[in-house]
Amino acid sequence: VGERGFPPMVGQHLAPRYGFSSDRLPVARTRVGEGIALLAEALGPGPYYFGDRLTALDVYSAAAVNILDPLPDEQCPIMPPIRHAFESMKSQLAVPPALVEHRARMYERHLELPIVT
Amino acid sequence: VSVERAPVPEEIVSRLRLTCLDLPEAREEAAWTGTRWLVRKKTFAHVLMIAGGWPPAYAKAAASDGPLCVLTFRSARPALDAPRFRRPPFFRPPWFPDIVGTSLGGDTDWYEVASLLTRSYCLLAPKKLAALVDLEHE
Repeated sequence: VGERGFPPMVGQHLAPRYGFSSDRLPVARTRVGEGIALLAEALGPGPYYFGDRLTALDVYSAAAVNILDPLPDEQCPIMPPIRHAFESMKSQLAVPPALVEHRARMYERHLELPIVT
Repeated sequence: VSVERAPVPEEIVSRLRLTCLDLPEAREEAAWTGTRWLVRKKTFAHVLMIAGGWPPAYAKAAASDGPLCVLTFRSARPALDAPRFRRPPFFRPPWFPDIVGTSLGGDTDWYEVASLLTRSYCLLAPKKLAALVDLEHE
């Protein structure tokens, strides 16, 4: 919450819902990093996680990468303070290129851009 | 996605293959781009071409739009923190804390590359397999 995170009002709303605790941050960061590495390693030569077979994991992965590495506003409009929070994570969690390329493939073949609600 | 995907020169893949597949239970497979070598499910070496600014993350990390052949591997501290890993031909991609990249070309010291890849393997391999490498190389 604050300079590098969500606006205080948003953060105060989300924190209790997701059990936020500042002393859990180092472990949480490590776990996220491990999860990202695991996904990157799981992507092989095929277009999807399970080779040529599209599964829910491909969709979930593409969506998750959007949080860690937001698409530009013309493809995924996000309110500036919220975008700032997501963008600020980039300095601490860089997404492996394999995952970014997989996301691009997913939007090219199966998902729609721009992302609108 | 319109991208230029240049293949890694076969002579480079062959040289790396000699080192990587000599390591216990190491295997080779096509990566999302280029070729990678794994022990169990962990990639200890990945070679690919940067061309036309693609893949952008690699182009940015290596400060080159290519064509440039690059290899990534893992390293442990204190070697990881050596200043030379932040100078060409080395570079430090940001997506894993222990990943190092190097460009490959005419000036490459292939003995050093072999050493770095062996260390990368030992870092990621189960202790039982890494111990075999120590026995073989000492």
